[in-house]
Amino acid sequence: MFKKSLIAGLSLVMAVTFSACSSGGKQNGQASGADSGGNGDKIVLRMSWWGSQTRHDLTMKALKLFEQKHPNITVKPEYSGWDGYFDKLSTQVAGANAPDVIQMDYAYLTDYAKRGALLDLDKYVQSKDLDIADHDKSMIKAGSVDGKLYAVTLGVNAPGVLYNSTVFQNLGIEEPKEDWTWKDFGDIAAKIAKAKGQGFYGSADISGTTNMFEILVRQNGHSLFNNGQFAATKDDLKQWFTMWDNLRKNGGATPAEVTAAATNAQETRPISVGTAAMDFAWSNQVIAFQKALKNQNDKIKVQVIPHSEGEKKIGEYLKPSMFVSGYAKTAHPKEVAELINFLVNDPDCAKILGTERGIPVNSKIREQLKQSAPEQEKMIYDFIETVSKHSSDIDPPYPQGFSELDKSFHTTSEQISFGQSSIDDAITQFMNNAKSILGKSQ
Amino acid sequence: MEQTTEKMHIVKHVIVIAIAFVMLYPVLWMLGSSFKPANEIFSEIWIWPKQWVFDNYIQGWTGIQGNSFAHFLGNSLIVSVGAVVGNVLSCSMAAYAFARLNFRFKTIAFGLMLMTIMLPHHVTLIPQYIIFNKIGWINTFFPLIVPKWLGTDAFFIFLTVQFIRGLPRELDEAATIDGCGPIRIFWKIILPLALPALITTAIFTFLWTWDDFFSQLIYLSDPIKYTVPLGLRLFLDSSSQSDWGPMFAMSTLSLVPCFIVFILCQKYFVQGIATSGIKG
Amino acid sequence: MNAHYETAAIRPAVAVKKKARRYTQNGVALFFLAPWLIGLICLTLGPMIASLYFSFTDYSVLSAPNWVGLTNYKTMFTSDKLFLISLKVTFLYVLVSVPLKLIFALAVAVLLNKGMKGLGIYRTVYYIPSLLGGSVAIAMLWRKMFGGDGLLNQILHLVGINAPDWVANPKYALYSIVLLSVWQFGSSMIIFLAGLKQIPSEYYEASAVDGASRMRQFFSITIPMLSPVIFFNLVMQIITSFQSFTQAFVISNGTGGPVNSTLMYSLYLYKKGFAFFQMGYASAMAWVLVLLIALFTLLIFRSAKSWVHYEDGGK
Repeated sequence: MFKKSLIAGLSLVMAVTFSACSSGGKQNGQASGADSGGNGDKIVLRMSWWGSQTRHDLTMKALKLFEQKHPNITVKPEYSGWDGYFDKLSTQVAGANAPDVIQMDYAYLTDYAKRGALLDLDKYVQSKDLDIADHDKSMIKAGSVDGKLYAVTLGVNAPGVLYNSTVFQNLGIEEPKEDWTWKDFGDIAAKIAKAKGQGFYGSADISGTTNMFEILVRQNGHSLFNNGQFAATKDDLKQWFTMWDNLRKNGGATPAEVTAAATNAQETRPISVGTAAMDFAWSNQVIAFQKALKNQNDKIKVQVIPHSEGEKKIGEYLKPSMFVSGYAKTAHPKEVAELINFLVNDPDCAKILGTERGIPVNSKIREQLKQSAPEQEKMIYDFIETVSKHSSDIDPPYPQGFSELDKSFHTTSEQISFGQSSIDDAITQFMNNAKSILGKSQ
Repeated sequence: MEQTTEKMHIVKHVIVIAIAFVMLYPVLWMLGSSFKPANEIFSEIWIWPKQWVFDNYIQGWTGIQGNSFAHFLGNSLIVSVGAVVGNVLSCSMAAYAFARLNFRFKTIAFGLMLMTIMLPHHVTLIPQYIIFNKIGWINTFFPLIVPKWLGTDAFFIFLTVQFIRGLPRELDEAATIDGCGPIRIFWKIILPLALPALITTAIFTFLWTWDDFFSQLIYLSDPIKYTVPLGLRLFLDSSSQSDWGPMFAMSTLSLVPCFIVFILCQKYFVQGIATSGIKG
Repeated sequence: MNAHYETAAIRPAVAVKKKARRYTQNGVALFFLAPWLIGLICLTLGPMIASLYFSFTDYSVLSAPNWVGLTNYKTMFTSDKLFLISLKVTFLYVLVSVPLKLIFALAVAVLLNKGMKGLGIYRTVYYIPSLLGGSVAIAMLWRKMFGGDGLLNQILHLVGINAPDWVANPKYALYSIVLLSVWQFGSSMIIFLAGLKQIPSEYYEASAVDGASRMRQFFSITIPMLSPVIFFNLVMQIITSFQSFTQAFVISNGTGGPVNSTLMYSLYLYKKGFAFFQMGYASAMAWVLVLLIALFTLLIFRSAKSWVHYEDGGK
């Protein structure tokens, strides 16, 4: 009797559950607007992005403007901080429930594109819904995977050396010029350390940052990846780690512990906290660094990454700070393209968004905005100008498995800096790791 | 003799206060940071700001895009209270069954219950998300509250089981002789006596739900529905500039409800529960 | 079942009542267990089985899973160095933090259980750290306090000791996380307090009359009466410590560094699943963890028979 009542109870429960699960609610939880009957019915697009308060405010303003210009479209914003953004996006894709328009990051582009999560934009470029005529060619390439356009650049960036020009002035050291080399960098760093004494270093140690190492690799005529395989050589690695090791020895670079104590947040970097005069970062972080400086009277300036003597090609490159993409399963691809088009090509929108995400990718808009930009922003514009003149094309997007490789590279640099391994051993181990990581990701 | 007890008393107090200071220092630091300008927060280690700034609180409270922080606090309150009530009810019921009743498959069920605590939630997240998506509960509070009403926090089932097992069976037997059925025993005897366990369940459920970032992140998309943890992260963007000041300010502020809940529930610990029910 | 009825009719009334009660209890049990059962079937069992399935696939979250059999499990134990590191880190963490946390919690609970002025305040103050959980604010603070130029080191400097950066040095980083975990002993303390409250004061009064010292009372009354709660705290602390994620995540900024010295099992699992798009592998790791925790739990349950005392006469 017990058995019967138990089974009866369970069956009832399961029946209720399965009927709820299958007869299910909304279809993919997407745009709940009317069918795209093309007769002006309301369409709802969901857009997600990460950022902090400033970006949320600016983007919302821009979206309101878009809605004014496209009265039949409403945009539902889904913004958040950086933490967890991609965890959430992955989950939403798994649940076939991702937003229509997605702010995308360079490091994740290939993973999402190759697994069919993003909308192929070529069709809309052809139909002129999305106009990329005035965009930097290299930026278009940067947003393409396997020859198809999946992402449009929302802001152009370039890697550079940020330095505290006031410290330089006070120490009577000449500020770096565009044609400076790694040797110059080392000399300056050592000079600063010597002049300032204990506790102050020339530069933050960035030997664990894969995309800075990439610049040296490019200068040596190689690329970091080739056809999904790791393509930097042992010599590239040796040159890089040895240089930084020497710098740590004479105070030119922060020692292991100081380096590990800082995170990616600007406020924790040695240059902000007042323990170093230089750091390697991205052009669109200049203003944030300036605001984070302990001594607000110091001025941050930016210069290109040092050259290698006898370099095969210039290592500098323009890079998308972030992209905007469409969701492969969106119900309204045309409108998605229109929104993307608005965000990067509309002059009024550009005025609102400014350079918060980086320098605009549309050259005409760049010209327009530069005229009315405040001084520090002008510096960034000029920097991007310089880089665009002295740079080579960005390499194709990182392959699948990049995140894991990035972490392994970082660990390798720490093993060396903490003295846990010799440079040669660490490099050998890393190269083996790289092979297995990239091998299984394809 | 009295002098030694006096001394012991003072020593005890000193130790307790010293520990209290160590416990509190980080919190005081956070409080102090909420009044510091951004560039001072990370460069100075002392609690008290060099420059007192109240802007952080204003900026933080204004929140983002017209969703003032009060909004986030309210949402968190709804979710947390809903979770508390659900957990207390469903977990105490299940615990009673495990602790006091005999039924078939008891051992297996108990083992299953424990096993649900052992599996890391990161790997069940996606299948659960898909289930909720199919029911259409994404972007609502339901996935955050309903599971609590269904005893999915097995931690509290186990906790309450241990508490109930600490109560002598004579109580139940006495009640049975008086003609009480199991349900009445549960309601009139076990629940009141297991109050410490229930209060503990309530406190912890409230606090852990209040702090739960990941689940709330996954299930809530409309910023207007955001809860406190999500609201706090809105101030941070490690890829560009973060607004640490307002974040610390609001973090400090969001401690207040937790504090209140805790102090209110504390009273029940002070009262204590006398098991004089046996004699009486 | 029918046989039971017939024999029951012959047996004395008590036996009939007993069997009848057992019979009824199944139905009653179902009633009390209903919410939990519904939750289990609808929300938990399915995903658990799904994750088990995923562990045998190359599920990347973004695309459909493909069956790969035991590959994930094989890789874990033969060629994944980080896996072994994460096991080591986690074991170390559990072995050090659990005993420390429980001892502190018990000691402070006993201390705060009786006659002291301002008890309520101290209780609250000691619990405040637990309120902060895994907040980013605390992580930043911890780095500041135990960093190279942090408060602790500045104090040590005054006494002439040059201490390393406790958070950024691979030798000590894990211990700064252990410390963070122990600092948040509030939860265990509360549970102990609740358990202490349930011990009838008559026991203490009676033994005091018999001339028992405080120590004696502690070991003869408090500990045995508290043993179900100690047992609970021990099991739960072990289970949650093995799964510890948030502290390591916020303090190491998600890296598990420096040099993987704080790469907890759950952190590595999370990275594999979400950052590296290898959810199949992560699921396999999850089930290995379940087995590991189950093993430990079983051992503790077995040992419980000898030291845990239940008032309900059970075991």
